[in-house]
Amino acid sequence: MNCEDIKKKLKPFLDDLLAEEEYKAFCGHINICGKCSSYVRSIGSLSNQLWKLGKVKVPEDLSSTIMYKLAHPEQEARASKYILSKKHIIAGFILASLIIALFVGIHYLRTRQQPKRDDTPIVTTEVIHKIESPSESEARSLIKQLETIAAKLGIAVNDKTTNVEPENENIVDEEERDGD
Amino acid sequence: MPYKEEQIKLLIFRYQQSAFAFVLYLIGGDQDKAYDICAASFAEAMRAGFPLEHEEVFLNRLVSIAVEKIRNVKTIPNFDVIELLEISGAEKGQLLIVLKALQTLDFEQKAPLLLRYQINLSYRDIGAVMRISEGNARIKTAQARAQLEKESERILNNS
Repeated sequence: MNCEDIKKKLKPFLDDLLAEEEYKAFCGHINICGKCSSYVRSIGSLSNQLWKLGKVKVPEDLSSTIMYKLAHPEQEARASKYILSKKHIIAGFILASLIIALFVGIHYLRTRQQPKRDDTPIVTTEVIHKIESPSESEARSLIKQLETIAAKLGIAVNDKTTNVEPENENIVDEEERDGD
Repeated sequence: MPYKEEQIKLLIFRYQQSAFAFVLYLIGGDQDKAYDICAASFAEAMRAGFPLEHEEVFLNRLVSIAVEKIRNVKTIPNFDVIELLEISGAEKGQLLIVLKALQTLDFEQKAPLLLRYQINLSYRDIGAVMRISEGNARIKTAQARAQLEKESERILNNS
């Protein structure tokens, strides 16, 4: 196909009505002939506009990246594996974060429901202390209660029980009696 | 590597712009992903080897690899960042309308349209790349072109 043929076939080319072989020959010519190319592409058809959209700015290092990938195919394979493992790392990190958040949440709920640990032993020791060594008034009220129960039952109560004396003195008295 | 470095550089120089633009529009405007896919497709196509006297074989393989890679990629369309070269101010306005219209098409519509009018492939080759028959490639391209014209008109009327 020559420059004259291009002028003749321009209309069917723009309307995409050329036969396959003619289309190939047409494109082949305008790819090598600058004059025909600028003539054809100057016409504002949709096919030309799409072709012009192809005139984008290419990143400067694209060719060097292609050359590098060609020279290092193993690096490319490693890179794709790395992308896969990177996804796994992200998924693992999210999973670990969720587990940690779950444990922290459970711990928080537990500590919120329970009373403070410092309070518990104080209450417990106080209770134990009260049970083990009742105060004098409490002891007297208990004795009185026992006396009333005994009186109802008709049991004689020893006077010594009402007069609370130190245990050591009783021991001394017993020793004196044994001596006598 | 089956070819000399000079031959490879020449091929890259000849096809990098059309290949990059094709990937960029088909992917929806993501420059970084288009860069990665374009570089990987070039490397893969070159590694496979081809007869040097038939460069169109290389081009067909290159776009086939790129199309397969793009099929598996999901991106959010954004054509605002695309920088066009060698285009005058008045013409740029018309092209931006076409670009906006192109944004409304899906992958199956955009691919045959770009293969036909940007890469200048025959319908037989488009069919081979898209894994459809030649007749189907012709129909799909015509439908996509009609849709693009319709969308361009709508955008022009609304602006």
